[in-house]
Amino acid sequence: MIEISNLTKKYNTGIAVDDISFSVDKGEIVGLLGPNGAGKSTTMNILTGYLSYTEGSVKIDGLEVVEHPKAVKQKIGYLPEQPPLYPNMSVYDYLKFVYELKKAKGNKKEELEALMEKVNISDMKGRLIKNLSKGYKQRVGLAAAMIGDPEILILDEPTVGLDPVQIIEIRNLIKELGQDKTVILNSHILPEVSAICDRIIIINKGKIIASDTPQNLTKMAGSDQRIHIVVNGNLDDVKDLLNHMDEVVNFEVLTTDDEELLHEILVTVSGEEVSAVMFQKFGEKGLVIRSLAPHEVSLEEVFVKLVSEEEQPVEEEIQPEEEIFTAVPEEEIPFTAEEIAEEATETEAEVLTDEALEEMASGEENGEV
Amino acid sequence: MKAIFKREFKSYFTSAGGYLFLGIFLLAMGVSFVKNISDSLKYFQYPTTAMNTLFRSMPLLLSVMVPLVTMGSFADEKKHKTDQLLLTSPNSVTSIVLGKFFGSFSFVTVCLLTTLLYVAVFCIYGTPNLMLTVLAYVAVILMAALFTSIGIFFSSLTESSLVAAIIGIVSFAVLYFFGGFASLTVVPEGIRSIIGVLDINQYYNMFYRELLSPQPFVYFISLTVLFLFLTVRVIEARRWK
Repeated sequence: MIEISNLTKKYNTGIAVDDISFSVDKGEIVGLLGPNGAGKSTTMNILTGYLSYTEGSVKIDGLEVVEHPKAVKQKIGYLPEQPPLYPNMSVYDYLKFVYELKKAKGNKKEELEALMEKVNISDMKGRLIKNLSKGYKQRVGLAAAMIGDPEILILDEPTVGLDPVQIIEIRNLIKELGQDKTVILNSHILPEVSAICDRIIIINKGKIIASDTPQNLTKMAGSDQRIHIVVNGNLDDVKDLLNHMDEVVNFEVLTTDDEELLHEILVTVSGEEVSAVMFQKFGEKGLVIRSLAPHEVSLEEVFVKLVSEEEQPVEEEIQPEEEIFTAVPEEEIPFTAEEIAEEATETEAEVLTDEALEEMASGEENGEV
Repeated sequence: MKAIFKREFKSYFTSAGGYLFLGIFLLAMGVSFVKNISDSLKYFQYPTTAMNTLFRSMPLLLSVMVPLVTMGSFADEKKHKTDQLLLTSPNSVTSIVLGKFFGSFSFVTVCLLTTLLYVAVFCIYGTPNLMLTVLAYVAVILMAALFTSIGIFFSSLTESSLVAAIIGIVSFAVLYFFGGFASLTVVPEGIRSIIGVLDINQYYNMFYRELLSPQPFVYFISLTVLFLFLTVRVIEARRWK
């Protein structure tokens, strides 16, 4: 359906997209993921024909975007990063304008009513767009993208600025749309991408650094085995033992309880049957392992790992404690190493899972009542 | 093109700006109508019914007002990022520019046509020269088309509608006073002839002086098309940045 090969986009100031290639099949939901400025939006703007490109080729249904702009644009519904809304128009007038602009054919009134129902903006029909909240604006933008029933939907951060209830609604809507449409969406919220998408393409500095299913990506980053253990005993003894074990690459003490002498440790190991060795050696020293479990790698870690591998020279060892986004002040870092480690202790390591959001939402509703 | 034209034209009537513009225009025309009648009474002892004398100050009026109409044309689209909607829709850049142009141009024309009220007054109290009246309207409408096209071109260059308006007004003022500049004896002959080509006033007056000469028609229409073409190029070039 969509075929991008060797796509390069150079700006005066540098390269935004650097020789990327990927293809998307019909009915697939693909997530583009990457830090800010990675080239996600540029890629989308090229796909939709808003920007041209320096080299390579972009084909939609076998048609080159630059050569058949009209035919290609007819197939695409696009929601840009900032929804393209006219503040002085009412919601319905705006959608009517987009309908005519896209040269959609059919029963205008019926289709628009159905669309407004779908994204839940029917109540706002007569309101001027400038008086709408961010969430409603986003939904009007989404409705506009869906006008004309395009085969491909390109959504640039579709849930940004929405509250938890709206996020669930929009996610479900996208999943529903993905059943018979091709969807490319773009986000920096990892759990969102892993919840909706069939496949994730991670972009950093204009290059694709990974492209796979969320499950496989998680496995990929888990090549270094990590074990989460809870040990009973003297902490110094435990550290001493871990330092002398050949299988242990490094370890990190997550929590300690001095009264009960319980320590929670995340150990990075290499080799086979490490758990058995561990039980044995700890037993010899009189230390009791209360629990031992392989550590599930969350998608955040995959992301941080892949991006940091790109950014650091190979010979340098990756320190998980180190900040990846050095330009961002510490308190603004979205996922710090500590946070990740904390989450890792729970089996569900995702920050914004659907369940969590639903909980938040129901809490909010109860609060309001 | 039709959708864009419709939206553009309607947009002048959904914001205060359009009505303000229309109000100021009507006020200026009213003042100039009264002054025109009283002047002709004073000098010729009979009131004039010629629309072309009423439209004498039109170049100056349009050079201030048209940039205010066209300033937001593309600048606001860029500001609100709605250009993304237009340029990713199945419409060519040319049809987008034409839609925008006809939207603004139609609004300016509607403003100009309100002066038909004065023609009605002339018809009731006298017998205006039909040929001159039609010609006066053709002249101002062609000039409005050129100014609109230049105004839209300036609007496509910037993201700020205020900047677009200022560049527009300043450029039109320069064009308007070009003629006077050329008549200065210190100006060398070569430069004077270049100024002559650019002098809008000269071509505007030509509509009346040399009746039905093709020259002013060619001048206004070709320059209008030129600036529309340049606007298309500016917008297409932006995609390559």
